[in-house]
Amino acid sequence: MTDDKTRILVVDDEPAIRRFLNTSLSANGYAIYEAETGEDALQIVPSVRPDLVILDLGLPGISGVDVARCMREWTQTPIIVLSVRDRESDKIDALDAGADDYLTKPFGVGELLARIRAALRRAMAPGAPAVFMTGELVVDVTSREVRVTGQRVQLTPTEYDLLKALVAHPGRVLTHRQLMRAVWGGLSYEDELHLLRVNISNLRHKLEPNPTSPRYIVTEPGVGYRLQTDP
Amino acid sequence: MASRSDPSDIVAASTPATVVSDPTRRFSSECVLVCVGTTPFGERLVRTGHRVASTLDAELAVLHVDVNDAGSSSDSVRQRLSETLQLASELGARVVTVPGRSVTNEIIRYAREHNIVKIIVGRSPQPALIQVLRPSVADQLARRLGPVDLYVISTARPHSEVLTDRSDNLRRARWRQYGLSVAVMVAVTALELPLRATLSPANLVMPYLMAAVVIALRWGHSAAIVGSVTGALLFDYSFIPPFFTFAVTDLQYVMTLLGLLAVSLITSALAGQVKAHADASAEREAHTAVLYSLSRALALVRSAGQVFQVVERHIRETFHRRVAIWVPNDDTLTLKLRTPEFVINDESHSIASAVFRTGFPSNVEQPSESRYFPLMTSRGAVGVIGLQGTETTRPLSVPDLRLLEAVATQAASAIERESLAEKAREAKLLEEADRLQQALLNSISHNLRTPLASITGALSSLAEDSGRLDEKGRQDLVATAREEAERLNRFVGNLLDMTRLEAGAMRLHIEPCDVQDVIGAAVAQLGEQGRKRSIAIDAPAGLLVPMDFVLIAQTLVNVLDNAIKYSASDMPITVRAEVHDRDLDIVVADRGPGIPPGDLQRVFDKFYRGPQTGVTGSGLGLSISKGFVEAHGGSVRVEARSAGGTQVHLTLPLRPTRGRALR
Repeated sequence: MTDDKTRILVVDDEPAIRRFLNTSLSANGYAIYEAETGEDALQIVPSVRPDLVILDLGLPGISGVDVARCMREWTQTPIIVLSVRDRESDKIDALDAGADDYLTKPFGVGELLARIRAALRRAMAPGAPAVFMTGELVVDVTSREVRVTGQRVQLTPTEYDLLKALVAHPGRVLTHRQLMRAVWGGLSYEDELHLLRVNISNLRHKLEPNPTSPRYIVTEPGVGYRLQTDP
Repeated sequence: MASRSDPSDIVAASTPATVVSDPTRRFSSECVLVCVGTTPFGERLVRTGHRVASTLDAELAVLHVDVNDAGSSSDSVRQRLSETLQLASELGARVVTVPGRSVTNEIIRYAREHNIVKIIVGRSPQPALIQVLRPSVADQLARRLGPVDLYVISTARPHSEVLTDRSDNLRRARWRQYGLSVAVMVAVTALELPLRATLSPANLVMPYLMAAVVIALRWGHSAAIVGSVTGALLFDYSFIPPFFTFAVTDLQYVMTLLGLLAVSLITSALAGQVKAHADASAEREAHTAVLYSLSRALALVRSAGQVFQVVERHIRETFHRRVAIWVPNDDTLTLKLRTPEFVINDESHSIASAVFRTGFPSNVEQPSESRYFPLMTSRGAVGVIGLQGTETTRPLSVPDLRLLEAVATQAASAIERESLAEKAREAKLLEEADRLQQALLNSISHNLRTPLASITGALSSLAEDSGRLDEKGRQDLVATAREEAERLNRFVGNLLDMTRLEAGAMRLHIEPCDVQDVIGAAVAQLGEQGRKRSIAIDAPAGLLVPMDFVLIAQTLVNVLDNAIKYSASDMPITVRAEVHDRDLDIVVADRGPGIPPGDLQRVFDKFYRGPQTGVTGSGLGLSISKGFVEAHGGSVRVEARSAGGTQVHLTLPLRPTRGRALR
């Protein structure tokens, strides 16, 4: 029976968190495996072959970031990291190391399930879709066409590259570094960050109905940006 | 000098063994008091006193009565006196210097006050007539002391001793003064010779008197005597018939001559005294000026550190010595401050410690060696001052020591005052810290327990529900628990922020940030609470300002949260960002009831809560926001809006001066 279910490995040293995740995720039809430490997790992963890993960053022993980095050496299994507030650098490190998404504790189960579904979906269909649609926004990668409420929008080449990088990972948070590497890759961090901020601002003014309260390109404070799939 | 008795060469000794007639008088501890004057016998008397004291197994004390008379104002005399007093200190005596006009009176007063019952005085042999006219101190004491044993020690010395004055320079100067006095009188005579025919001797005598007064004022008493006698002789020789002999034929000229001698001696003596007093008062004035400038400087001092600097500077400049100051630190004496040239050797610290412990100055002052004085207050020593001269420094004279004592007393009370003020400040800080700690505990207790109580209540209601709750009731309970958990989370976040701010552990991650994006992110973080309200954002597009995105967004969340909580739900809130000069100004404005004018500054105090009731909050949000903005080198202020409501200005520098640069 368990073979039919999606397998999720929960790595957290707190029994209460494991218990709550086990209960609520099992109820949603996932098969749950648990690991208490990073070492345990790395041992279990090859035998369990989970479809997704929920990884706490504040582990005793080897850190969550290192676990993500190790796993990425041989598997593309989606990883959602759990972190606490104020540890933006941990989140960025984990995302840069290859984690797919992050959630800040405390979080609601609804949010977690949405992230799990998005991550699994991306894992099933790797690569950018030919046409990406969200809300009123349509991005056709083959024809380099961008439309909002049916109207074609003119983008500069840089703006388009940036949008394409976001569209390649819909729903996934991309760190500043990941976006900069995708679009520029070569300038200094400072210059690139400057360009990134300006281009994101421009994109929003061209795509968003209300740029001060963006629906499509949302800011993950201190971490990066995310292209919303269900605004 | 030689003509006077030795009024201040006194040895006083007291021992309990002495039988005393007055039974009410208490004995002092066994003590020998050596009191010295300005004569060369001082040393001998001190040694005698020391021998007496050791024989009696008594303490030794030395008294000097400073009468400030003309004879004692020369440097060599002062030096001799201070050497005598040093010797006394070295022999373990307690050295006392008292000012006074009458030596006898001061000795008697001192003896009475200190229960001294055995006094040994020195006395030089004097001609019988002088003894009658001007009895020696020993004689006066013998008459007036009452029930005290008095021992008189002869201080006769061979004539040669008089000549072995320690200072050749002084002697040369003295002889030069005598020579000049004679020269002045010769000059007066030469000037008057042409007038001998026209003026009577009674008129011719006047310039001699004037000359005698001038000599007395200029060179002092003894030169005036030489001048007066010379003048009388010259006058007799030149102007009294028969001329050019010392013979006097007419009796009336004898009177003129004697008159000249007497008047010029008296006036010169008076003038000499005037000069001595003028010198003394000039010195006192100088001392007063030193003390005045020190006390003025000390009055302006704001910290204990400055006290030491002021004291060091004044002593260094007044006494021309290097200065070091030690103060107790816990149980050990530590060097607080020193003139850079002050040489500290192995002994310095142990001597300073001994001086601090005993409260008595150290004794020796060899050239280039240090001398240590305790800084005494009514509550004991508060420190030690070390003075260090160079090879060429003049030794400290008695008036110098007296001034130094006064300076040290002033310094000590200033140090004590500062240390008390410091303690008071610390106590106040401690009290403040206590108050804040109490407020923190109250806040934690309240803000943690209240949501926990709601959550526990909601969950237990759900757990123990036996089907009585309808679906809406269950949802209500769940929503309550969830909201309260979020509130708890916010409070814990605030506590963490505040703790990190106070611990100085705030590490800024400053990057160019899109101002519009920061404001948008803050509104997004408000979640449901923000979506329910109309929040108008007015910020220039694409304006990049260096800041820590997360912290400033959090700051705005806190400020907006307040605006939402403290204004009616249908009232608009605006966030406006503008660049002024070199600053970014973000203004969050609401139409709430406003903050009482007196509280506008207090809103940033920890645990300050607005006057409205029915609003939940920890009173930490604005305080944290202020800390975050100030960490950026910016500032926060709150204003009342003219048409009602409040606006909070967050000002951030466009070029941050503090915080971490780009990574």
